[in-house]
Amino acid sequence: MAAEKGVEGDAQGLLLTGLGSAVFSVFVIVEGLRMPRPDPWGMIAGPGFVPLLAGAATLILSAWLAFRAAGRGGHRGLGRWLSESLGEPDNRRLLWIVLITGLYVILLGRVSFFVATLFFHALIFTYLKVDRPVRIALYSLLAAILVAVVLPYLFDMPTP
Amino acid sequence: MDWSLIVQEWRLLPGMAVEVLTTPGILLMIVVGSTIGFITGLLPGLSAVMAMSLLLGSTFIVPADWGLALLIGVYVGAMSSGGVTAILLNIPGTPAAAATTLDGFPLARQGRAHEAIGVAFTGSMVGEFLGQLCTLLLLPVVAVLALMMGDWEIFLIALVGLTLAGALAGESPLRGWIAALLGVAVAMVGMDAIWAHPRFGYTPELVRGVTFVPALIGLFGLSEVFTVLRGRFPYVIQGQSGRVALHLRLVWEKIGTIVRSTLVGVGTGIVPGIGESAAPWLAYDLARRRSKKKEEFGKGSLEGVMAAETANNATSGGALIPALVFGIPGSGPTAILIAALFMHNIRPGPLLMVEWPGLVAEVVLLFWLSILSTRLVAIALSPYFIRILSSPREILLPVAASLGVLGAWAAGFTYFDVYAMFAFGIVGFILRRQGFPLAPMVLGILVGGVLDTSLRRALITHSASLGGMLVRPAGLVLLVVLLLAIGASIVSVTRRKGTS
Repeated sequence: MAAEKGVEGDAQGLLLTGLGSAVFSVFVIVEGLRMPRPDPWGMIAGPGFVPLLAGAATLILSAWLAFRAAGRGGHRGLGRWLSESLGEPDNRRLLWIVLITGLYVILLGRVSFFVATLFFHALIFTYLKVDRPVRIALYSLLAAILVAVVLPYLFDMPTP
Repeated sequence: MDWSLIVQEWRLLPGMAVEVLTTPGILLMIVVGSTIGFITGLLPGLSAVMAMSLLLGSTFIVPADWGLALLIGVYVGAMSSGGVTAILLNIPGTPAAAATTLDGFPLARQGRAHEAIGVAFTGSMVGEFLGQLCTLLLLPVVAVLALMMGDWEIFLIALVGLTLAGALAGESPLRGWIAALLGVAVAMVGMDAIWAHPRFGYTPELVRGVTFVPALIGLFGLSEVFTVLRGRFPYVIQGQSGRVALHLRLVWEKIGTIVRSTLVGVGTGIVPGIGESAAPWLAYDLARRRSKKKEEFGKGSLEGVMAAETANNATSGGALIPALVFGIPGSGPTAILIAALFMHNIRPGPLLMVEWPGLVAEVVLLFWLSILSTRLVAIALSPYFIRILSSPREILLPVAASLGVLGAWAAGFTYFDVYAMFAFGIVGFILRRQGFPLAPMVLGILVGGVLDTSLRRALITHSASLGGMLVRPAGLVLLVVLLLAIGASIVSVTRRKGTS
C-alpha cells in the first residue's frame, strides 16, 4: 500500500514525528519522576507533577499518532523515503537556508553585529538570486543599517 | 466595596473628557505613542513591552497623565498592528494575534489582504472601545467576582484555552493537542515557582528558563522563513492598493459575534497571565460554533478575523481591572502601566478610586482616544506598510529573520535566547511540515507556568478535601466547558471522517 501524501504531512513523516515526540515525552516523564516530592503532599505538589502529567498526555497522544501513521503504511520504505526527501531540490535549498541562518547565529558575538548582519543578507540574497549583484549589495547594506544600527539606536539597546 | 464609587467614576467622566480634550499635551502624547506603538508592532520581534519600557523613563519628565497617555498610546498601537503582520506575513506581532493568522493569512493569499486588515482594524477598534466601556461600568463588580476565582479556576481557564487552541488551530485536534502539550513541557524548563527547584536545569541558561519571545519568533517567524523560502517560487501577496477602510457595516451585521467576543475578552482578560492569550481562541471558537458559514473558518473567514481581533483587544479592558483594583498586572504592558503609576506616587489598589477620584475614568478616556488615534495613523500609513509587507518574500523574509535575531537577543540580552529561537525555528518547520499547528505550542509555553503553579497550589490548598475543589461553582462551570470542548472536538473529527 502506498503511503498517503498530502499537505498535512505524509505517513512516514508523521510516524517519525510521532515517535520523536513520544521519545521526548518519555524523557520528560523520567525527569519529572526524578524531581523532589515535598512532604507531606508528595508528588502532587512537587515540581515534577505537571511535567509528569504533560509528558504522560503527550506520550499517549504521540503513540496514537504514530500508530495511526503506521496503519497508513508509514513504516514501509522509511529508508527510501528519507533518501528521497534529502535528494529533493526544495529540501536541498532549505538546507542551505538553514545553514546560512545558522552561520549568522554562530557569528553573533564573534564578529561585529553589523558585519554579521551584512554578511548574512549578502549571502542569503545571493543564494536566492533576488536581483543583480549591485542591488543585492544595496539591499544588504540597507537591511544591515536598519537591523544593526537604526533599531538598536532607537531602542537604546546593546547589540550582540 | 463602596458601591457609590462606581457612580463616582461615571459622574466624573464628562468633566474628565473636557479636561483631556482641552489639554494639547495629552493629545500630542496619544498621537506620538500610538504611532510609535503601531510601527513597533509591525516589526517582527519588537513588542509593545519593549517600546513601553524604553519610554517609561521619559514619563518622569512630564505630568502623570501625559506619561500615561504616551504609554497607553504605545500599548493600543502595538496591539492593533500585531494583527497586520499576522495577516500579511503569517507572523503574529503579538502572542494574542496568533488566532488572527487562522483566517487572516488565507484571506491575504486570496488577494483579500486589504479587506482582512480593514476588518481586523474594525474588530480591534470596536473590541477595545467596548472592552474599556465594560471596564468603566463593571470595574468594582468584576473585581469582586474576580476574587471568587481561585487557583483551581485559573488552572481550568488555562486548560480550556489550551484545549480549544489545540482543537481549532489545525485540521487535526490530535496534532494541535500534542503541540500544546509540547509547549507546556517547554514552559516547565527553569526554576519552579513554588519550591525553587531548577527543572531541566542542566546549564545556567536552562535554570533561567525558556522565555516566550524567542519561542514565538522561532516558531512563527523563522519557521515561516524556512517554509516559504524552501520553495523555488515563494507566494506573492496581491491585492488592491490604497488606504484600508473600516468595515463599520460588518459591525452591525456581526453584532452578536462582536458582543460575545468582547464579553469573552473582558471576562478572561481579568485572569492574570492567561487572559490575553486564551481569549482570542475562546472567542474564535464561539464565533465558529454560532456562524452560518462554519465551513469558511480556517480558510478565510472575515467573521473569524473579526472575532479574534475583537476579543484580543477587549482583553486590555479586562486586564486593567486587576491592575487598577488589586495592583496585579494581567500582562506585560499593564505591568509597565502600574510601574508608571507608582513612579508618580499613584498606588493602584482597592483605595485607588478613593485616593484618586476620576483616574479610572481618565484611563478609560485615554484608551478611547488612543483607539481613534491609532486607527487614523493606521489608515494614513496603510498604503505604505501594505506595500512594504507585500514585497517579494525573498527580500522581506531574510530581513524578518535578522529582525527576529535582534528581537530574541533583546528578550534577555543572552546568546542562549538567540540559539533557542533558531532551535524553535527548526522544530517549528518540522512540525508545520507534518500539519501540526504552532499557535497552541506558543500558547502552551505562555500559559504553562500559570497552569503548573495554579494546579499544584489548588491541590495543596484543597488537599484535605479534593471533592470540595471540584464542586466550587465557577470551577464546575469551567469543568463542564472543558469537557464539552473536548467532546465537541472528538465528535467533529468523527463526523469529518464519516463525511470523507
